[in-house]
Amino acid sequence: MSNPELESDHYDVIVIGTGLAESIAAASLAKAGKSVLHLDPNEYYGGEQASLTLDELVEWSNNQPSSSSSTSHVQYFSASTTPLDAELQNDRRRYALSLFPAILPSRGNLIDTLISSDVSKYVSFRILDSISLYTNEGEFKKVPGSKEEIFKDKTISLVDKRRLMKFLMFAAGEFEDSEILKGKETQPLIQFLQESFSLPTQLSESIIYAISHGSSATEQTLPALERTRRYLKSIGRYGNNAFLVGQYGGAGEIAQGFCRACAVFGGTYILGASAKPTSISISAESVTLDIPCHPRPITARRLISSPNHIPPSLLGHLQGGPEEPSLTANCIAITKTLPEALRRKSTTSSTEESAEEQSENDDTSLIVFPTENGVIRCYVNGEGTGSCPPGQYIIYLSTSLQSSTSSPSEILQPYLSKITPDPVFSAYYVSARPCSSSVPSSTADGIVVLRPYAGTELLTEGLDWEAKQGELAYRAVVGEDGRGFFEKDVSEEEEMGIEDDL
Amino acid sequence: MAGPHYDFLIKLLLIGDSGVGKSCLLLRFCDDAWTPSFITTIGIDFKIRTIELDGKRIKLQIWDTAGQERFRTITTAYYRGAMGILLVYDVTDEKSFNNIRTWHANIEQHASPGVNKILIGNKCDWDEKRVVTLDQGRALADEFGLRFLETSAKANEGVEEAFFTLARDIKTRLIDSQPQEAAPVSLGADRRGVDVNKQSSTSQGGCCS
Repeated sequence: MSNPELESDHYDVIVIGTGLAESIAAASLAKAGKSVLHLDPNEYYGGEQASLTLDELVEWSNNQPSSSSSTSHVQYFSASTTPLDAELQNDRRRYALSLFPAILPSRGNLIDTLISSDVSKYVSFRILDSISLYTNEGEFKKVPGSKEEIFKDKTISLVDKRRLMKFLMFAAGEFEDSEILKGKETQPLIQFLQESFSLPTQLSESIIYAISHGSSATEQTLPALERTRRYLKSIGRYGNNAFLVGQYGGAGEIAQGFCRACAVFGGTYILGASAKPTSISISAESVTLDIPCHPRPITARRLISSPNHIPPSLLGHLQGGPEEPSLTANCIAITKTLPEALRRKSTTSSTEESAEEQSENDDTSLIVFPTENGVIRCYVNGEGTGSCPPGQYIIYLSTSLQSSTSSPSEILQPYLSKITPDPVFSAYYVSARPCSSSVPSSTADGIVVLRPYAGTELLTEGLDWEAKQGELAYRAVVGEDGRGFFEKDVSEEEEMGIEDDL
Repeated sequence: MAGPHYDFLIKLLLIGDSGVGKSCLLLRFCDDAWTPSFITTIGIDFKIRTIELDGKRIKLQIWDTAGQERFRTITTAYYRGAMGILLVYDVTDEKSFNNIRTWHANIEQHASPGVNKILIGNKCDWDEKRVVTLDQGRALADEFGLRFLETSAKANEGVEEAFFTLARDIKTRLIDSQPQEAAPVSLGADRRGVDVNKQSSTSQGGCCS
């Protein structure tokens, strides 16, 4: 039992890495009847999307290189953490700290996949409590999320409210054919908002950073509008915010849910050093690999992996690329005091909300700092997310970096101190994401390579990107005529009824 | 009132080595079925049985490992929200008994503190193959402060008692100590949680309807 070997030397599909996209691909293929062997050289689930305990995060940080090298996969460097005091050491396992902090739009690829796969039963979500913008006056201003909230907001003039509503109606609609947009698709968004909708600068910035969740005021109008429409349509599906917060760290927990689904459909899981392939080779018909825990070579018809587990020789000429990777400075901090931005003030219309709701502060929040050097995003998870002990908050900060020599703590620490004056722990690191054009989605016939998210809106776009990659990998294996992605069969539809009241 | 046909929902987990009979215990308890043909667990996610304890209808949702115990790759997510755990070994397989220590350590690491546990020695009908004695099982249970029972899923011995004992302990810990609740409660349920399979009924259309 302690050293079991695999039951078979051959699988339909081998998946390496238990990141979200890989896990979705594995579950969907197992569900479609494929035999799946799912490996991860890490001791933990989740890959790039892992949620780590506090001690795991410190170890992870210690294992990252001090500087980056040019490759085709995601890299982390310049990582550092503060030491753990006795209390943190004692509670270390009560934290779920995400390497991929992200919120989930209520409409999009991942939510659709969670529902169609029924993996939603393994994970739990809450509505994001608030989105705030840090103003020039040094205040945290809640951004109204719904029509009702806009009407209630006393800081916006009636004229501007009308302009804002006009824009939101436009952005939620079929704007592609609109005369307003014609010829302005590539115009900077800020210019479009100011010229075509007469929106004042401050309101325009609120839209750009806290409704459209863009990284720059000069982003092209059409792609920004497309994203905005998805978010606007997400509002109201589950509540008054467009976004959901995953419990226990989010992405990593969701990835585990898909891995369990894969296992229920017969997938086999091996993690850690004994699952790290010692050789991978491809022939016309199959992929062959060796892993330490199995005495014979294992073959599969297809291999699915993120680029970091594939030997460079198999990625061939497609490795690397002319473009520089996009760099992000990241911070993960813990505080034991309520961040001011999460305090629910009783100034706005106290009549309609119940007394109980009034007294509760926000448990989760997205706070945006627009700066001259680009936007800095802060995402806070409280105890309600199950990712920290009671009374504590996990603070994630991130911003785009221009140079790999910049220190992440120098850039982000001033903003962390605006969120909380007294963090009890902080970790800083830089992530380098290859531009998507430099990573192939499929190299040789046998290997399907999942592309890491390369944009600058990981916080709001990253999860749906992963779900899309998972689905693309599924389709690459089963082909266009194959069974649908997480297609249900009739007997399951009947079973569903029994579980309705769970 | 209309709605769920139970007063409380309790989540239980099965833990232990491959082949000790976790799925067989589950099938015996929930479906009163037995099959010798299980090699590894495929396709069992969780099963449900509603029992009555002291006039309360208690819905037991019992989760199986989905085969992820084989290479010790049970997800940490599996342990979330579990209120009780059945630690199962096979009285005819000494290794499975020795591995209880590892599984116990895993539970300490990943399950919520205070989770109720019971140690189960399965296949107790198989006398000629038995290698772990009743006393050995009892001694290990005492060492960890666990309740202990021997069972046979095949002969249907002790199975009801095992699940009922655990459920009763959980009821004592979580339900009897609580003030009276009017409606069915899922213990540990998140009041602010979202069921993604259900649309919000209060705020349709949001900002641009």
